[in-house]
Amino acid sequence: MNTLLLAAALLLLLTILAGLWRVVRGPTAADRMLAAQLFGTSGVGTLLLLAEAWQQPALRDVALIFALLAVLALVAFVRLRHEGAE
Amino acid sequence: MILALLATVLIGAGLIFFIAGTLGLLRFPDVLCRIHALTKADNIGLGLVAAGLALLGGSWAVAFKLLLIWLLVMAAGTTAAQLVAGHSQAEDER
Amino acid sequence: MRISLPHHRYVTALSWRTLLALWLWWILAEGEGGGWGFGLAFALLAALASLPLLPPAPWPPLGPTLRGLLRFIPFFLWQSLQGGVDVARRAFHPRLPLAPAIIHYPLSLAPGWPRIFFLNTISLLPGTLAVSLQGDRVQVHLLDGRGDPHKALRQVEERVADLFIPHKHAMDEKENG
Repeated sequence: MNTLLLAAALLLLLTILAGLWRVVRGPTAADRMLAAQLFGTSGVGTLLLLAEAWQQPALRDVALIFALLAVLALVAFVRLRHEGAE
Repeated sequence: MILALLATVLIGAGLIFFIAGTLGLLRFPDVLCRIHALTKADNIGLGLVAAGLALLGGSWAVAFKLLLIWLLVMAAGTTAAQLVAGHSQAEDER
Repeated sequence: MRISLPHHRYVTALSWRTLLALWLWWILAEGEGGGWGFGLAFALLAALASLPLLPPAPWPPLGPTLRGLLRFIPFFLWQSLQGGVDVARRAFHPRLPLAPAIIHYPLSLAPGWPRIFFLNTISLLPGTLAVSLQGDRVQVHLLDGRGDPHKALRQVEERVADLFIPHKHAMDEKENG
Protein backbone atom coordinates (compact mmCIF):
# COMPACT_ATOMS: atom_id res chain seq x y z
CA MET A 1 0.00 0.00 0.00
CA ASN A 2 2.78 2.40 0.95
CA THR A 3 4.49 2.04 -2.41
CA LEU A 4 1.18 2.80 -4.11
CA LEU A 5 0.65 5.91 -1.98
CA LEU A 6 4.18 7.13 -2.67
CA ALA A 7 3.73 6.52 -6.40
CA ALA A 8 0.48 8.51 -6.26
CA ALA A 9 2.26 11.37 -4.47
CA LEU A 10 4.99 11.33 -7.11
CA LEU A 11 2.39 11.51 -9.85
CA LEU A 12 0.82 14.58 -8.25
CA LEU A 13 4.26 16.18 -8.06
CA LEU A 14 4.59 15.54 -11.80
CA THR A 15 1.33 17.45 -12.43
CA ILE A 16 2.90 20.38 -10.57
CA LEU A 17 5.92 20.14 -12.84
CA ALA A 18 3.64 20.16 -15.89
CA GLY A 19 1.85 23.19 -14.48
CA LEU A 20 5.16 25.05 -14.40
CA TRP A 21 5.06 25.00 -18.20
CA ARG A 22 1.87 27.05 -18.04
CA VAL A 23 3.56 29.52 -15.67
CA VAL A 24 6.44 30.00 -18.10
CA ARG A 25 4.18 30.08 -21.13
CA GLY A 26 1.41 32.32 -19.74
CA PRO A 27 0.30 34.12 -21.78
CA THR A 28 -1.84 36.08 -19.30
CA ALA A 29 -1.42 36.73 -15.59
CA ALA A 30 -4.64 34.77 -15.06
CA ASP A 31 -3.04 31.69 -16.66
CA ARG A 32 -0.14 31.91 -14.25
CA MET A 33 -2.49 32.31 -11.30
CA LEU A 34 -4.39 29.25 -12.51
CA ALA A 35 -1.16 27.24 -12.46
CA ALA A 36 -0.61 28.44 -8.90
CA GLN A 37 -4.06 27.10 -8.08
CA LEU A 38 -2.98 23.72 -9.48
CA PHE A 39 0.07 23.79 -7.20
CA GLY A 40 -2.25 24.36 -4.26
CA THR A 41 -4.63 21.48 -5.01
CA SER A 42 -1.91 19.03 -6.08
CA GLY A 43 0.23 20.12 -3.15
CA VAL A 44 -2.58 19.40 -0.69
CA GLY A 45 -3.15 16.02 -2.35
CA THR A 46 0.58 15.17 -2.16
CA LEU A 47 0.79 16.09 1.53
CA LEU A 48 -2.28 14.00 2.38
CA LEU A 49 -0.84 10.98 0.56
CA LEU A 50 2.55 11.37 2.27
CA ALA A 51 0.89 11.77 5.69
CA GLU A 52 -0.66 8.34 5.25
CA ALA A 53 2.34 6.66 3.63
CA TRP A 54 4.84 7.86 6.23
CA GLN A 55 2.35 7.82 9.13
CA GLN A 56 3.06 11.49 9.83
CA PRO A 57 -0.26 13.01 10.93
CA ALA A 58 1.36 16.46 11.19
CA LEU A 59 1.55 16.56 7.37
CA ARG A 60 -2.27 16.57 7.32
CA ASP A 61 -2.15 19.76 9.38
CA VAL A 62 0.26 21.26 6.88
CA ALA A 63 -2.27 20.41 4.17
CA LEU A 64 -4.99 22.09 6.21
CA ILE A 65 -2.89 25.27 6.50
CA PHE A 66 -2.21 25.11 2.74
CA ALA A 67 -5.95 24.96 2.10
CA LEU A 68 -6.55 27.99 4.32
CA LEU A 69 -3.72 29.94 2.69
CA ALA A 70 -5.03 29.15 -0.79
CA VAL A 71 -8.13 31.17 -0.01
CA LEU A 72 -6.06 34.16 1.14
CA ALA A 73 -3.59 34.08 -1.76
CA LEU A 74 -6.33 34.16 -4.37
CA VAL A 75 -8.25 36.97 -2.79
CA ALA A 76 -5.01 38.95 -2.49
CA PHE A 77 -4.20 38.36 -6.15
CA VAL A 78 -7.51 39.62 -7.41
CA ARG A 79 -7.58 42.63 -5.05
CA LEU A 80 -4.06 43.67 -6.01
CA ARG A 81 -4.58 43.24 -9.73
CA HIS A 82 -7.79 45.22 -9.64
CA GLU A 83 -6.37 48.06 -7.60
CA GLY A 84 -3.21 48.13 -9.69
CA ALA A 85 -5.27 48.41 -12.85
CA GLU A 86 -7.49 51.25 -11.77
CA MET B 1 -8.56 -6.00 2.70
CA ILE B 2 -11.73 -4.83 1.02
CA LEU B 3 -11.18 -1.37 2.51
CA ALA B 4 -7.66 -1.26 1.07
CA LEU B 5 -8.94 -2.32 -2.34
CA LEU B 6 -11.70 0.29 -2.30
CA ALA B 7 -9.19 2.93 -1.16
CA THR B 8 -6.86 2.02 -4.03
CA VAL B 9 -9.70 2.34 -6.53
CA LEU B 10 -10.77 5.74 -5.13
CA ILE B 11 -7.22 7.13 -5.08
CA GLY B 12 -6.53 5.77 -8.56
CA ALA B 13 -9.69 7.40 -9.91
CA GLY B 14 -8.74 10.64 -8.18
CA LEU B 15 -5.35 10.61 -9.89
CA ILE B 16 -7.03 10.24 -13.30
CA PHE B 17 -8.98 13.44 -12.59
CA PHE B 18 -5.80 15.25 -11.48
CA ILE B 19 -4.14 14.23 -14.76
CA ALA B 20 -7.21 15.39 -16.69
CA GLY B 21 -7.14 18.78 -14.96
CA THR B 22 -3.48 19.30 -15.74
CA LEU B 23 -3.98 18.12 -19.32
CA GLY B 24 -6.83 20.62 -19.70
CA LEU B 25 -4.64 23.37 -18.24
CA LEU B 26 -2.03 22.61 -20.90
CA ARG B 27 -4.27 21.78 -23.89
CA PHE B 28 -7.39 23.95 -23.68
CA PRO B 29 -7.30 26.91 -26.08
CA ASP B 30 -8.09 29.88 -23.82
CA VAL B 31 -7.92 30.89 -20.21
CA LEU B 32 -11.66 30.54 -19.47
CA CYS B 33 -11.75 26.95 -20.77
CA ARG B 34 -8.62 26.17 -18.74
CA ILE B 35 -10.36 27.41 -15.60
CA HIS B 36 -13.20 24.91 -16.21
CA ALA B 37 -10.72 22.07 -16.58
CA LEU B 38 -8.66 22.78 -13.52
CA THR B 39 -11.49 23.72 -11.14
CA LYS B 40 -13.84 20.85 -11.88
CA ALA B 41 -11.34 18.04 -12.47
CA ASP B 42 -9.03 18.83 -9.55
CA ASN B 43 -11.99 19.25 -7.21
CA ILE B 44 -13.21 15.74 -7.97
CA GLY B 45 -9.63 14.44 -7.97
CA LEU B 46 -8.91 15.72 -4.47
CA GLY B 47 -12.32 14.54 -3.25
CA LEU B 48 -11.66 10.98 -4.41
CA VAL B 49 -8.11 10.91 -3.05
CA ALA B 50 -9.36 12.26 0.31
CA ALA B 51 -12.16 9.66 0.36
CA GLY B 52 -9.66 6.87 -0.31
CA LEU B 53 -7.32 8.11 2.41
CA ALA B 54 -10.24 8.45 4.84
CA LEU B 55 -10.79 4.69 4.48
CA LEU B 56 -7.12 4.03 5.28
CA GLY B 57 -6.85 6.58 8.11
CA GLY B 58 -8.57 4.32 10.60
CA SER B 59 -10.40 6.99 12.59
CA TRP B 60 -13.46 9.19 12.25
CA ALA B 61 -11.49 12.26 13.32
CA VAL B 62 -9.03 11.77 10.45
CA ALA B 63 -11.91 11.21 8.02
CA PHE B 64 -13.54 14.48 9.15
CA LYS B 65 -10.24 16.32 8.86
CA LEU B 66 -9.86 15.11 5.28
CA LEU B 67 -13.44 16.18 4.57
CA LEU B 68 -12.75 19.61 6.08
CA ILE B 69 -9.63 20.03 3.94
CA TRP B 70 -11.54 19.03 0.81
CA LEU B 71 -14.37 21.46 1.58
CA LEU B 72 -11.89 24.32 2.13
CA VAL B 73 -10.04 23.59 -1.10
CA MET B 74 -13.37 23.31 -2.92
CA ALA B 75 -14.61 26.64 -1.60
CA ALA B 76 -11.28 28.29 -2.44
CA GLY B 77 -11.24 26.65 -5.88
CA THR B 78 -14.70 27.66 -6.99
CA THR B 79 -14.36 31.20 -5.64
CA ALA B 80 -10.94 31.48 -7.25
CA ALA B 81 -12.33 30.23 -10.56
CA GLN B 82 -14.88 33.00 -10.55
CA LEU B 83 -12.40 35.69 -9.46
CA VAL B 84 -9.78 34.72 -12.02
CA ALA B 85 -12.43 34.44 -14.76
CA GLY B 86 -13.92 37.83 -13.93
CA HIS B 87 -10.48 39.35 -13.74
CA SER B 88 -9.34 37.99 -17.10
CA GLN B 89 -12.60 39.09 -18.71
CA ALA B 90 -12.21 42.62 -17.28
CA GLU B 91 -8.66 42.73 -18.63
CA ASP B 92 -9.90 41.67 -22.08
CA GLU B 93 -12.48 44.43 -22.22
CA ARG B 94 -9.92 47.14 -21.67
CA MET C 1 -28.23 46.18 16.08
CA ARG C 2 -31.61 46.90 14.61
CA ILE C 3 -33.48 44.02 16.19
CA SER C 4 -32.51 43.34 19.80
CA LEU C 5 -32.67 39.67 20.63
CA PRO C 6 -33.79 38.10 23.90
CA HIS C 7 -30.94 36.89 26.12
CA HIS C 8 -31.71 33.23 25.75
CA ARG C 9 -30.91 33.48 22.03
CA TYR C 10 -27.33 34.42 22.95
CA VAL C 11 -27.05 31.55 25.41
CA THR C 12 -28.34 29.09 22.81
CA ALA C 13 -25.97 30.43 20.15
CA LEU C 14 -23.03 30.34 22.56
CA SER C 15 -23.75 26.71 23.46
CA TRP C 16 -24.03 25.56 19.86
CA ARG C 17 -20.91 27.41 18.81
CA THR C 18 -18.90 26.03 21.71
CA LEU C 19 -19.97 22.53 20.69
CA LEU C 20 -19.00 23.24 17.08
CA ALA C 21 -15.58 24.57 18.16
CA LEU C 22 -15.05 21.51 20.38
CA TRP C 23 -15.89 19.28 17.43
CA LEU C 24 -13.26 21.14 15.36
CA TRP C 25 -10.78 20.68 18.20
CA TRP C 26 -11.47 16.96 18.17
CA ILE C 27 -10.85 16.88 14.40
CA LEU C 28 -7.63 18.90 14.68
CA ALA C 29 -6.31 16.64 17.44
CA GLU C 30 -7.35 13.62 15.32
CA GLY C 31 -9.19 12.14 18.28
CA GLU C 32 -6.18 12.04 20.62
CA GLY C 33 -7.31 12.15 24.24
CA GLY C 34 -4.92 14.79 25.58
CA GLY C 35 -5.55 18.49 25.80
CA TRP C 36 -9.30 18.49 26.35
CA GLY C 37 -8.94 21.16 29.05
CA PHE C 38 -7.24 23.46 26.56
CA GLY C 39 -9.76 22.47 23.94
CA LEU C 40 -12.72 23.40 26.09
CA ALA C 41 -11.19 26.73 27.14
CA PHE C 42 -10.37 27.76 23.59
CA ALA C 43 -13.68 26.51 22.20
CA LEU C 44 -15.49 28.69 24.72
CA LEU C 45 -13.27 31.69 23.95
CA ALA C 46 -13.75 31.22 20.19
CA ALA C 47 -17.52 30.99 20.62
CA LEU C 48 -17.52 34.14 22.80
CA ALA C 49 -15.42 36.05 20.27
CA SER C 50 -17.75 34.97 17.46
CA LEU C 51 -20.84 36.54 19.08
CA PRO C 52 -20.07 40.22 18.37
CA LEU C 53 -18.60 39.34 14.94
CA LEU C 54 -21.57 37.24 13.85
CA PRO C 55 -24.58 37.90 16.09
CA PRO C 56 -27.22 35.16 16.27
CA ALA C 57 -29.48 35.68 13.27
CA PRO C 58 -33.15 36.48 13.70
CA TRP C 59 -35.52 33.81 12.46
CA PRO C 60 -35.66 32.77 9.64
CA PRO C 61 -31.91 32.18 9.26
CA LEU C 62 -30.08 33.91 6.41
CA GLY C 63 -27.92 30.91 5.58
CA PRO C 64 -28.96 27.53 4.21
CA THR C 65 -31.09 25.35 6.46
CA LEU C 66 -29.92 21.93 7.65
CA ARG C 67 -32.86 20.23 5.97
CA GLY C 68 -32.13 22.11 2.75
CA LEU C 69 -28.48 21.06 2.84
CA LEU C 70 -29.41 17.40 3.30
CA ARG C 71 -31.50 17.64 0.13
CA PHE C 72 -28.90 19.65 -1.77
CA ILE C 73 -25.70 17.69 -1.01
CA PRO C 74 -26.52 14.49 -2.97
CA PHE C 75 -27.61 16.56 -5.97
CA PHE C 76 -24.45 18.65 -5.79
CA LEU C 77 -22.08 15.71 -5.37
CA TRP C 78 -23.57 13.86 -8.32
CA GLN C 79 -23.64 16.93 -10.55
CA SER C 80 -20.09 17.99 -9.70
CA LEU C 81 -18.87 14.46 -10.40
CA GLN C 82 -20.55 14.78 -13.81
CA GLY C 83 -18.80 18.13 -14.21
CA GLY C 84 -15.44 16.49 -13.55
CA VAL C 85 -16.16 13.56 -15.88
CA ASP C 86 -17.33 15.91 -18.63
CA VAL C 87 -14.26 18.11 -18.51
CA ALA C 88 -11.92 15.10 -18.19
CA ARG C 89 -13.49 13.54 -21.28
CA ARG C 90 -12.87 16.72 -23.25
CA ALA C 91 -9.29 17.08 -21.96
CA PHE C 92 -8.37 13.49 -22.89
CA HIS C 93 -10.11 13.60 -26.29
CA PRO C 94 -7.59 13.87 -29.14
CA ARG C 95 -9.66 16.44 -31.04
CA LEU C 96 -10.51 18.52 -27.94
CA PRO C 97 -14.29 18.90 -28.40
CA LEU C 98 -15.09 22.43 -27.20
CA ALA C 99 -17.62 25.02 -28.37
CA PRO C 100 -17.08 27.85 -25.88
CA ALA C 101 -19.78 30.49 -25.54
CA ILE C 102 -20.74 33.24 -23.14
CA ILE C 103 -24.34 33.87 -22.11
CA HIS C 104 -26.02 36.37 -19.84
CA TYR C 105 -28.37 34.66 -17.44
CA PRO C 106 -31.04 36.68 -15.57
CA LEU C 107 -31.05 35.66 -11.89
CA SER C 108 -34.27 35.19 -9.98
CA LEU C 109 -32.55 34.35 -6.67
CA ALA C 110 -32.41 36.93 -3.88
CA PRO C 111 -29.12 38.84 -3.39
CA GLY C 112 -26.73 37.70 -0.67
CA TRP C 113 -26.36 34.08 0.39
CA PRO C 114 -28.56 32.46 -2.28
CA ARG C 115 -26.75 34.22 -5.14
CA ILE C 116 -23.25 33.56 -3.81
CA PHE C 117 -24.20 29.92 -3.29
CA PHE C 118 -25.54 29.68 -6.85
CA LEU C 119 -22.48 31.29 -8.48
CA ASN C 120 -20.08 29.05 -6.58
CA THR C 121 -22.16 25.98 -7.36
CA ILE C 122 -22.45 26.40 -11.12
CA SER C 123 -18.66 26.72 -11.50
CA LEU C 124 -18.38 23.10 -10.35
CA LEU C 125 -21.25 21.73 -12.44
CA PRO C 126 -20.86 20.39 -16.00
CA GLY C 127 -19.79 23.01 -18.53
CA THR C 128 -20.72 26.19 -16.67
CA LEU C 129 -18.47 28.85 -15.11
CA ALA C 130 -19.66 32.05 -13.42
CA VAL C 131 -17.58 34.94 -14.77
CA SER C 132 -19.12 38.10 -13.36
CA LEU C 133 -22.25 39.50 -11.86
CA GLN C 134 -23.73 42.56 -13.57
CA GLY C 135 -26.74 43.77 -11.65
CA ASP C 136 -29.28 40.95 -11.74
CA ARG C 137 -27.58 39.16 -14.61
CA VAL C 138 -24.70 36.77 -14.38
CA GLN C 139 -22.22 36.26 -17.17
CA VAL C 140 -21.76 32.51 -17.63
CA HIS C 141 -19.01 30.91 -19.68
CA LEU C 142 -19.95 27.60 -21.31
CA LEU C 143 -17.61 24.87 -22.51
CA ASP C 144 -20.26 23.90 -25.00
CA GLY C 145 -22.81 26.50 -26.10
CA ARG C 146 -25.09 23.96 -27.75
CA GLY C 147 -28.12 22.61 -25.89
CA ASP C 148 -30.27 24.62 -23.52
CA PRO C 149 -28.05 26.21 -20.86
CA HIS C 150 -30.82 28.50 -19.59
CA LYS C 151 -33.01 25.55 -18.74
CA ALA C 152 -30.18 23.75 -16.92
CA LEU C 153 -29.30 26.89 -14.96
CA ARG C 154 -32.96 27.42 -14.05
CA GLN C 155 -33.04 23.93 -12.55
CA VAL C 156 -29.95 24.64 -10.45
CA GLU C 157 -31.50 27.92 -9.33
CA GLU C 158 -34.59 26.07 -8.12
CA ARG C 159 -32.37 23.65 -6.20
CA VAL C 160 -30.50 26.53 -4.57
CA ALA C 161 -33.70 28.43 -3.73
CA ASP C 162 -34.88 25.27 -1.96
CA LEU C 163 -31.94 25.62 0.47
CA PHE C 164 -33.14 28.87 1.97
CA ILE C 165 -36.23 30.06 3.73
CA PRO C 166 -37.65 32.99 1.77
CA HIS C 167 -36.50 36.00 3.72
CA LYS C 168 -39.21 38.54 4.25
CA HIS C 169 -37.20 40.33 6.97
CA ALA C 170 -34.26 41.12 4.75
CA MET C 171 -36.50 42.39 1.97
CA ASP C 172 -38.52 44.63 4.30
CA GLU C 173 -35.43 46.04 5.95
CA LYS C 174 -33.93 46.83 2.59
CA GLU C 175 -37.03 48.69 1.46
CA ASN C 176 -37.34 50.68 4.69
CA GLY C 177 -33.68 51.37 5.20
